Amino acid sequence: MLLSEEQISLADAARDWLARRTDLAAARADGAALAALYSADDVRAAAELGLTSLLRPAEGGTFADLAVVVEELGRAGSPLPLGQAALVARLLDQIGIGAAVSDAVAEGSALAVPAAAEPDDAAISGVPGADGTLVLASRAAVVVGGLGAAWLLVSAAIGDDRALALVPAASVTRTARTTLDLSRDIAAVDLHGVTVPAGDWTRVGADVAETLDQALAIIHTLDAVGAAGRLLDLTVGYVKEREQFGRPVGSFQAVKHHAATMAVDIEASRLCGHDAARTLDSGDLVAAGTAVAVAGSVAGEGTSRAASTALQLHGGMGFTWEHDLHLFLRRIKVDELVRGTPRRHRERLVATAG
Amino acid sequence: MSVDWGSGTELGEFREQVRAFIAGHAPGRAARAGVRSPENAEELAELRRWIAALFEAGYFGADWPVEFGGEAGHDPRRDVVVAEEIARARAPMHFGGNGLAASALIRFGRDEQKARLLPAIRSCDDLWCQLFSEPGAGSDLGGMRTRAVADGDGYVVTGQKVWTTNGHWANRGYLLARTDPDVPKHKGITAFAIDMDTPGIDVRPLRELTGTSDFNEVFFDGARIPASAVIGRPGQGWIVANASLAEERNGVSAAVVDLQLAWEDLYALAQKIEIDGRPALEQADVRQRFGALRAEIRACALLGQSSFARWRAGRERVIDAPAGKLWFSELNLRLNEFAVDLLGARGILTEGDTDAVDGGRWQDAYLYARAYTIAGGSSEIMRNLIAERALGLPR
Repeated sequence: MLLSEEQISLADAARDWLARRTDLAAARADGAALAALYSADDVRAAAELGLTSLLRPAEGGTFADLAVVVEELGRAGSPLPLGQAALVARLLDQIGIGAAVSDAVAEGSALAVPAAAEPDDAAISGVPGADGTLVLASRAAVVVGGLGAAWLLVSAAIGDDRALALVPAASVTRTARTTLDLSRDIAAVDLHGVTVPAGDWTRVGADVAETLDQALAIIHTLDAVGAAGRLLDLTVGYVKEREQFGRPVGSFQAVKHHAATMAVDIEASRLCGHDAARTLDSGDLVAAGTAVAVAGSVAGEGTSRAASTALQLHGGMGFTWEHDLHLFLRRIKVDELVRGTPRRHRERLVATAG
Repeated sequence: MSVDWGSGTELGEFREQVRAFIAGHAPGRAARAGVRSPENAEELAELRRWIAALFEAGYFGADWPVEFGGEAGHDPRRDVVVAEEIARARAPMHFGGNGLAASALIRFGRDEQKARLLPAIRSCDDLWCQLFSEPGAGSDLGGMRTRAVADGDGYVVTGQKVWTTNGHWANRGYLLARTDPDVPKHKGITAFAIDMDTPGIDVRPLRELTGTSDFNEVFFDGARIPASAVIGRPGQGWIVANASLAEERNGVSAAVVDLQLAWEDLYALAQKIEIDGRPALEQADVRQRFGALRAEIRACALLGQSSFARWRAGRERVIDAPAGKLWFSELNLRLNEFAVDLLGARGILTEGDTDAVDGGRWQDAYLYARAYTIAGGSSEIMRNLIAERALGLPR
């Protein structure tokens, strides 16, 4: 259950690269055009590192590997929706549509992200139309990376059946959402009346739709774990330097105990997140559903609590717009609430017992 | 009921063997939470037979040196499986401080000591108690004041120990005492293996908040012990004690099984207890608590498994053991507080009341839960340790 040497190398490579590429000042800029958070060149460079293709069946990558990368994206506060893109590339290969888009994502010439209803909302509905088309209805309220993406992989319901449909992002109305999170682009996507031509959509088994949902939940859990890990580093660094009453505030036991609690919460959250990814790799979707819910419950609360403590321990400094702290605190709260709230995860853990 | 608690150490065939063995040999189910002393001579005899049978079958002591009955090429995952299965059967796992004494003797004992003392630990002819804590030295163990003064060919011990589980039953003691008052506090301590029937040792049972007597105070008034009782070298006691405490690796995996069983029992109870005429389990807030606890129990298992895997791979970190201890002890307390609260007004009834739920089990566990957040390094000590040694915050 420990990270392999390869995974540690992957994490190190991703961390170094993201540290050089991520400009948190852009996230703080007032009225920043969200697409400007990253460039086409960033996407190409990420693809060259293999980060967008690592889940493709031909690459042999696993969700456990993706977990390592996503944790680094969170740690960096990166705007790049690379976990989502890697997931889309895998699903397209698996269901046999959009081969060119999957290749484009893997090469870094375009990004694609999933568009799915939030778990608390009704599914996006689709109705088969003439000539093998699929006509979509309703709206995806929260699409992370939706503004910068060239393609959307829509998870839809046709009655009791499930379907995945590949939609060019330029063909739908996307609205930038104003959210707590300043470091990522989040869009609402209006899919009313969008007609997907034959060949760009397919019915899928419930297992494929479930895999998509679980993988998205895992991406947000590990993003939060990485961001919380960054906050722990920032906090430990700050309380070692900051002096009050003639000594570093980190020498006060009240501060030490808060920092230790952060470290334990983050460690438990990390273990649960990686366990969920490994369980999803096993292909046992029932066990994975449980592991995802465990991670969502423990990490959802644990990382937000760690972020809250990080702010407290930074004192007034952490309350300023200029400090990076709030960017991570905001991001962690968004990770907690999208793709399944702790409340929802906990209900699942009770409903599946007995 | 069946709850998927997630994967762990498998070793399926070995696990089946252990289960069958336990089914055939284990004494009746423990009535009370935690590590408790036998309440009478019959219970003690039964416990002695059970633990001796585990050694005899090779389920205990397999990690010992081969010349003392250990198994060549022992797989430490087997120890985890044994601990988990004993916990699952709600059978006792400890025979006093025997495990702790054995690991100290194996690592630091002289050949003569090992040959004399280890066989009687395997056979359970000896029962050991741990003599570490003092009234003035709990979390600050280095502040202990019990003195062992060199005198002729031995030492004369004077002072007081406390929280000595099984002290009233034990015939051997694993003692830490100060032999050199002139050096910094952790350096002047020596470990001893002593006979509890030595003149000058007085054992007085303590009654705890649970109402039971599991601990003792032990008074030393000029008790004379031989130089051959020293474990390791004089002044090495701190190292001996820390090494033997660190050997207790299977504690978390067994504790996780205890939590799983408690969760399942409480879940079944919540289907029966009614609030406003409906099963408690239908209440949204109750469901949320059950869901959160289930997740936290899984996290506890993962902390234990990760720590064990790191140890085996030589990648242990400072944070591993204290994080597991903190997580378990605080979760165990939350779970048992929730249990008592869930029972509502009936939650006030304890063992002895005819209407007490499950014979007062939940109230006993609720009170006993504080032992875990205090003993073996309190939660505050664990957090200091993580902050100072893992995160590098200034002392």
